Amino acid sequence: MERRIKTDVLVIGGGLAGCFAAVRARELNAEVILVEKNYVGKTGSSHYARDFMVFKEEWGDNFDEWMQQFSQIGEYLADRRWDEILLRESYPRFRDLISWGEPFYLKNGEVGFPVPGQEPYRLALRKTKYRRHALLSKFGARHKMLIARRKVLGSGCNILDRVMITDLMEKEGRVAGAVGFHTRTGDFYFIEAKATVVSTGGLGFRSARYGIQFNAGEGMTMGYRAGAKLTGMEFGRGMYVVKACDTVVINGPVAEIGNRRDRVTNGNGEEFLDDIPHIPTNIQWAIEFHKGRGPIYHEPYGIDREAYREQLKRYDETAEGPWITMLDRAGLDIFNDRFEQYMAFTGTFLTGGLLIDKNCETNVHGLFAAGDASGTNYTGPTYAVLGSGMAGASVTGYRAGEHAAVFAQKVPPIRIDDADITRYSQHVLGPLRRKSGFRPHHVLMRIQQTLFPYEMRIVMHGKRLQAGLTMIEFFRDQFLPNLWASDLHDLRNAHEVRSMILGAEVMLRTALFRTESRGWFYREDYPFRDDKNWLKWVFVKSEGGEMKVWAEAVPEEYQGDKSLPYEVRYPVQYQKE
Amino acid sequence: MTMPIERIDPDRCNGCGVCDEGCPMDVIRFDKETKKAFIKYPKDCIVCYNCEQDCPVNAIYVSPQKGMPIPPAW
Repeated sequence: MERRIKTDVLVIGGGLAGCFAAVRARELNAEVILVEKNYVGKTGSSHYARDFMVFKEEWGDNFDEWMQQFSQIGEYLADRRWDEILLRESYPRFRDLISWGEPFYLKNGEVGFPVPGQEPYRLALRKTKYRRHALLSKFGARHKMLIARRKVLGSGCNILDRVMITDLMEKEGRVAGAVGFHTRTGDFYFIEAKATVVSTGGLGFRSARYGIQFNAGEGMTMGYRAGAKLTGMEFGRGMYVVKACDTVVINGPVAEIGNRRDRVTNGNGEEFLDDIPHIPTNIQWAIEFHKGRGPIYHEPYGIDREAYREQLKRYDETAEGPWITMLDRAGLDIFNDRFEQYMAFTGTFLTGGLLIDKNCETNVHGLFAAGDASGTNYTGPTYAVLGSGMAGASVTGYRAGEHAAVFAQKVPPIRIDDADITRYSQHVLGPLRRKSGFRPHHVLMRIQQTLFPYEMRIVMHGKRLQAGLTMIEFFRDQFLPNLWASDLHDLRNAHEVRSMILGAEVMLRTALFRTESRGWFYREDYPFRDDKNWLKWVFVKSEGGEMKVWAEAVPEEYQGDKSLPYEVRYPVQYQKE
Repeated sequence: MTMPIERIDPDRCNGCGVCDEGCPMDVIRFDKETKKAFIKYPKDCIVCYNCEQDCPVNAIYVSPQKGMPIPPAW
């Protein structure tokens, strides 16, 4: 069945960014439809996230210090326009969440609703020589996205669950809505919108644990195909995974317990990190393995589990995952036994995506982006502040919703005719109409086999990136035209791998292009920072059917003080630097 | 194949549908005839525990192993 719907503002993706966009656009009287391939309320990276960064001068936060932290940890690629917006608007969005009924941890450890001026529980992590950790609010309740759903519906927005959007419709130089299908009924959806917000999350490849697994970068690749620019796509993200049970990631939570120091050793029993967590720790693990000194072990935590029973229970109650339970089920006792770990490549870094201006508008008329799908470069190649993902989703979502609503008031609708519908339905439902071909699971496996070995995206080298790119191009040319979906569930997988392949191509081409190392971005063939040539952002767009990659200099005033001694400018050193 | 979401106990399942509704990977479906939830696409389970944590009658058990193991970095 074919369903044609019209709206003022279409929001694609129902995580926290999408919910904020929908609510804000509705506040400005736009008619809003929020579309989600899963169920709004239990999806988005936000559902699995825990921390929300709040900056507040009255609580003792110093604006210049925070800005300095973004710049320094972002290694002078942080876009300070966005840093300032993020800091200034994190508190109003935090208040919005409380007004929606979102509970936060209070200072006494209970859960509740801080009144204006009252400081919530804010986690202060250790100060290391490498990194001034931020203060943040804990916001990990498992039902937090259901509260957001209630707010979205209560505001008068419409929600379409289980509808997967696959393509943006372009006409007359504008995005005029989107097309997709219902993953349960198979109905073909044709949504005409005056303004469209993409808040579909990051580009992931179903790697190790964390919410990014159902994000296949669909919004980024849809936007790219519609002519939008992407930025920050060369930067990737890694997770510390327990080797015997790679659905468990251990980084933050355990380190908070007892505030002790983690001990990581190589195969010879030597400690090779002097302190963690600091910025390129993940790279150091991989380099240690690369040099033939693996495996990499985490020494036992050596704490009395019973003494931390309440705190551990609290982790089990968050949507971040009952990781203690998971470890128990896998038969692993990290408190008393040492365990092997590795760095898993998971996907794009949270600030890479569709390039947006301060109104969250892309370079394509009528197309806005928010959350992990948007490219703001607010922390450059390294994660500056815990909780900034959630704050960023809220701040960009709110702005995107506001400006999409304003845009929708100004423009006339675009007429879409039957020929357009036929063309798009072939693209959306094509894999389902085949009777043979390549299964999405096969293609997914081949993508993972190409991208996940550490030597591809963690310890990078031009020759290997080129080899990976050759394979991805092969998948693109051979598998994609012959993708076969045996049912609607498989059709969803088919569109996800389609997006992953284009996303992987963008990622590898941009990584090849940046011939230096910086932050978490490590090139074995260019192992040092190159301030002379690479204080630049990298951009990508489609031009005449080709992928065009280029760089533009970061504004002079963002580049930091270049007269400082190197070790002051960059407190974290690469090896042999 | 290792099983990620291992079982939905039909004797315990009360047919509320909350697991099917919330699954972010479209793994669980609801059988309209038996009025019970069942595991339809275990390979796609990402071991997020939404279903097990949400189930009001503790009918679901999720094992910590993925259905499609991923190639490790090393």
